[in-house]
Amino acid sequence: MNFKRQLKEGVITNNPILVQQLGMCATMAITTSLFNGVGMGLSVLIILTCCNVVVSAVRRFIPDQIRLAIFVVIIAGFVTIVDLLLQAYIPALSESLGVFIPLIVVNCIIIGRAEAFCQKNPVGPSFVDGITQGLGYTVVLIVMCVIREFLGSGRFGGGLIDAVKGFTLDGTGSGIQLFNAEYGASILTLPVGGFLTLGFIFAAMQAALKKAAKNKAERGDDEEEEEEDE
Amino acid sequence: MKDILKLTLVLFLICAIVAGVLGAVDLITRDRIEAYQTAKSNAAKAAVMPVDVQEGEQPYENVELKDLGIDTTINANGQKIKILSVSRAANGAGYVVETEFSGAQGTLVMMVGVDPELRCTGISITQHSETSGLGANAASTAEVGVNFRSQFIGVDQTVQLKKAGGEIDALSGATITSRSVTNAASAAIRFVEALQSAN
Repeated sequence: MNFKRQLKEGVITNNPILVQQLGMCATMAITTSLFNGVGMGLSVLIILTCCNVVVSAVRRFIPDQIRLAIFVVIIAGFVTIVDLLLQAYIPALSESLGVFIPLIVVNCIIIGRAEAFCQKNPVGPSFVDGITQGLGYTVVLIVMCVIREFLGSGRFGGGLIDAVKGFTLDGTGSGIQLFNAEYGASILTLPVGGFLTLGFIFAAMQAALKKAAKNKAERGDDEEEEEEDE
Repeated sequence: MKDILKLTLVLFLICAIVAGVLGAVDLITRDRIEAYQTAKSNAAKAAVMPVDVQEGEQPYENVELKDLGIDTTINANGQKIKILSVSRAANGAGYVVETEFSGAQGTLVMMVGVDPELRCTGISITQHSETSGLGANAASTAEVGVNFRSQFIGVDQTVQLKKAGGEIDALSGATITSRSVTNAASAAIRFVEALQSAN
């Protein structure tokens, strides 16, 4: 397991949202502005990485019968830490994400990775897995935020651009207005828009993966050479 | 038997470690979170009733509702409005009433400023889940929201929508939200009236 391969798996071929189809509820609910998307993505990335490392470190001491209970306690611990830190230092983000930060406890990406990966692998790869899977999650959130924000209200980078410019982190800015919000399809800013956007991204991803697999099959010889290059 | 003891011990140890870490994090963050919550609630109150106080003085003082013996659910034009909290503003400027009520989609929480002459000094919606583009305009910082809310400055407890013969222009496409906001403003003023006569 090298980093490059894990990165490719986390972001593309085994993306937590688009391929494993985990943790979609929060995905659809919070991707209304780029500020929320990046904030949620990074929160999950941090929690996932911490949980992966701890679960992997204690995996030999955990009796099999109560492993799920212990995973949940560890996950809940890290989620609460992140929740408290956000409330104290980035209150605007904590408010706009609302209940979805505490709900990371039951986000299946994290327990899924603990169960499927970390309890079988040492600390190093688990740490990398947390970062790459977290990145895969963040990338999808960012794509959804950009699409929903642009088509829904004609904006780009709501809150985030202003936060970067003014170092304020209050998330109030409306980003760059690309066209008048009145002409936007405001349905995309509602929850139903989350379902629509996610559906289209799923379709595009599946098509792309299928095409890639077909290409690979057609030029099987070339593929082997490429592997060697790596 | 030995197995069960081992399971219990491992689970207990993990829980104890997690609880210890959480306690430490709570210790570090508690003051900042509390300071932020107070600042936020003071800002929401200042939006409906600004008061000038000296440095170090508390601008708003919480009134204990339990001791008053006044019913905290008020029926305004057939709608039930719940009074969550009341704060007395410094310098006798009046009261800030926090109300909770149903809108078109879900629950709204709104601050209403009421002066001693029982006139509204302003409203501010702190929580809502109304439809974006329609009812959500009531809380928005855009012109349409500011204009809607500024209509409430100076009204008394008989406040009504224009449709019902009153003075408030409803938000277009959001009559239910507008009506419930109007009812809550009326209820808040009536609550302060009861509060004043009880004192």
